[in-house]
Amino acid sequence: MELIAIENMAKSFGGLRAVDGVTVELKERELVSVIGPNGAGKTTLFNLITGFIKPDRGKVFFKGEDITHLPVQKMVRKGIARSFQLLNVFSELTVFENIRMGIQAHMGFGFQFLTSLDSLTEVREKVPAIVESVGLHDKENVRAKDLSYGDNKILDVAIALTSNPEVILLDEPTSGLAMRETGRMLDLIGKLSERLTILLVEHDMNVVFALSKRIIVMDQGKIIAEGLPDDIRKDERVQEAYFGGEWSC
Amino acid sequence: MNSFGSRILRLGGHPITLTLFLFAILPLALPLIGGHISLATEILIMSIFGLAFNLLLGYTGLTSFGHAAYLGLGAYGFALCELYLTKRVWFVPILSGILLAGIIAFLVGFVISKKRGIYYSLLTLAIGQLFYFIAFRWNEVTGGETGLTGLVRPSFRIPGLFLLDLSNATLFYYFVLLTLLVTMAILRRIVNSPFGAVLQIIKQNETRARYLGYNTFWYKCACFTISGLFSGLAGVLYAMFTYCAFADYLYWVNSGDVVMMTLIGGGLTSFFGPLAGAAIFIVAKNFFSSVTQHWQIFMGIIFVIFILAFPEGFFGILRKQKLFRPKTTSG
Repeated sequence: MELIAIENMAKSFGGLRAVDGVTVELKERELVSVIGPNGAGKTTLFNLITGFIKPDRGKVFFKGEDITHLPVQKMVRKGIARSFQLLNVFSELTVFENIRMGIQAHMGFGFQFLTSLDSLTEVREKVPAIVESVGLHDKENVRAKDLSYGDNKILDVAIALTSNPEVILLDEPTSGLAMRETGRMLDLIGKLSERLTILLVEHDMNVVFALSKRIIVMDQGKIIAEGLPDDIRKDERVQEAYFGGEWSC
Repeated sequence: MNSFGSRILRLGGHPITLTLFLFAILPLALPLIGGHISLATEILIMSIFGLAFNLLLGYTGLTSFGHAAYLGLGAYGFALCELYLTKRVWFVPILSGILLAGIIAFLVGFVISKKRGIYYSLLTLAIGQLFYFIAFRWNEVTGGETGLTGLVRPSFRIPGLFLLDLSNATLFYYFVLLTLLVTMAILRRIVNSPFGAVLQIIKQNETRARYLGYNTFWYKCACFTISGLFSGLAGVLYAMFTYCAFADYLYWVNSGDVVMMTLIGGGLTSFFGPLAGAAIFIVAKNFFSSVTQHWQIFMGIIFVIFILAFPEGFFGILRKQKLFRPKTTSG
């Protein structure tokens, strides 16, 4: 049974068909990568799935329920989370505070006007677990804007975990990372894939082939290929779209 | 000296305590330098207005260009209640002013909170002017151009002791000071609450806040409402201060003034910014307008200097000189 299914999703911006009839299904704890050249529509697809923008056509089903037109915050509460290609953390807050805000939302403590934020121990005590699980415990009290880029990418994923999701959409988690930091992110995603369903957009082919159970290739808003990593590696259409010729890795 | 004693000393040397002490003795000191207490009273009232405004601007990142409307609604609510309902039960007119401003602020907030950036701000400007025109034209209710006059300040009878008549300027000053302190305590609590924390992340990154699961629309709406309530309180006090309510209170220039005050004081990064801003703005306005009829040029110059050279305002300057260390991110 699919955990999450995207059916015939389409979105145009003016004359540009950003996403053009995309169908994707993920089973529980599957890790599926979406690859494709820049402008293929991968981030737009994420925006559509998570309710950030409204599709022209198509549906999103989660555990059999039609969640297509839910706004972002409701989508998140259903169990779908997302990290971002461009850094999207709260730069003025510390690692601890970033995570705390997510847990506070998840536990429904947002609309309290007159209690002190620090007095919410039930929220505070859940923070260390997440901070440690991503390996940022020694930087807990550092402000996000003072963290390295690599730590910020990790934080971006960590924040997504605070809503206790079943599905997580990771948008280019290793972009801009150096070799060692990529390894760190790889380990983290590998750990997450043991308990979460993951849809991963990536450009780093090493990461894609190391982690993916299945690979989907997009170009100009359409899916041009889908299958096991080895099949995709050999697929000529993919090579054509991506490199105009041969794989270089 | 024991630790309790040294704590008291540290508390006493704290800038806030010093400021409070200064405000407390001001009515006694002012006449000595030929000043009138009404200037100080006006500063306190505008501080309340500025604090209310800054909840929206400094904490949530929302710019309202029509906020004088809520001060004006507070003044009119107070006035209408006194003139048509009761003057004698002291808290009823006060409550009427606050609630009128708050309810209208909720309705406006509900309508505009889906909008972003410049559209949001322009809507606040348009709506503010709409209320100005209603106040100016609706002769039967608002008195039109002449406004509503003949208001009284409440008087409190302390049983068995004496009568506190707020028509005494000094007593009124302390009444307003007390109100300011209560306002500061409540708003301080709000910004340090879970709700206040969400406002602050909306300012930093509204998209991510939504992706955490917060329905940011309701937070922005609630923020606008709370801001409206306290702006209304400032309006109630202003009506008491002037003994009248005029359409002019809602005029867009006054909305612009509170923006200027808040930025000059350093509201974007400090809770106490609006207080400094109100003091600087009102003192400067008073000074320049007594010296030249072109005082608005000088006010403009001061504003431009602050924006260019001291974008974090007065409290930003203090912080850079290490004269003031805020506890939290936003002071």
